[in-house]
Amino acid sequence: MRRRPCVDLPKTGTLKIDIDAQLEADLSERYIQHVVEVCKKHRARVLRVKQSETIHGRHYYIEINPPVQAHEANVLQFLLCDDARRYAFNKARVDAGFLEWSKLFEPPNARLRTIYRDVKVAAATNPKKRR
Amino acid sequence: MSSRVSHPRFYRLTISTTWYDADTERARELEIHFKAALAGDVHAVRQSLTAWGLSTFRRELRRRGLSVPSRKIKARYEREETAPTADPDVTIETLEMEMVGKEWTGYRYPPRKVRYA
Repeated sequence: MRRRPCVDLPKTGTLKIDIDAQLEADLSERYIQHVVEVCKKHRARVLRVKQSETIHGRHYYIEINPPVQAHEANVLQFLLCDDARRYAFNKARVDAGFLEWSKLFEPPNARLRTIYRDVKVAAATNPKKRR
Repeated sequence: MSSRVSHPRFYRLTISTTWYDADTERARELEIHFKAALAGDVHAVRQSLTAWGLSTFRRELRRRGLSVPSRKIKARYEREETAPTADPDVTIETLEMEMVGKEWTGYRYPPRKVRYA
């Protein structure tokens, strides 16, 4: 197969995680704490976490600041319990310079629920509560 | 009569198949990624775009001399996002993956635009 040199991809501000397991409420809460801690360790602040239910488990969309390089984002996703096969495919896509390397498939009209919001984001989006 | 306005949305469709290449003794995967900004009911658009995408995918398989049963072809969508305007052109990007040792490696073909019929 012909190989192409690795291309610099734009930084990404959204991590997409696929967890094929049903999490109890308590474990889900601990998982979000873990997400915030791991991102903090990698110098990224978690702004918002959205979640959708799937047949096998859950999808998480994690908005972070500052955005990180594609390779770093894929590693972070893996550290946040993303599917291992997905990590391998994403790595190949990033190496090939594929712009939309992080794929997360959803049924039509999948409902996203915000389950975590950074205090600063919450204050900015809900000005009444600031008074 | 329905009062719902159908806003244009970005649809991201991935059609893929995996097979074992006996010549190179390696697992391979072919992925074709379609990105389209279309208006209409999500279910209806997904259905027609899938049919259109599958014909493109099968053509690509034939071009490579591959015969893959339908059950081995996966067509999946990402979450739709709002698009500013509808666009009759669909962006198609092909990615070929190969298992080298214990790692997947990929080769990306340049993206092209095709009029959505």
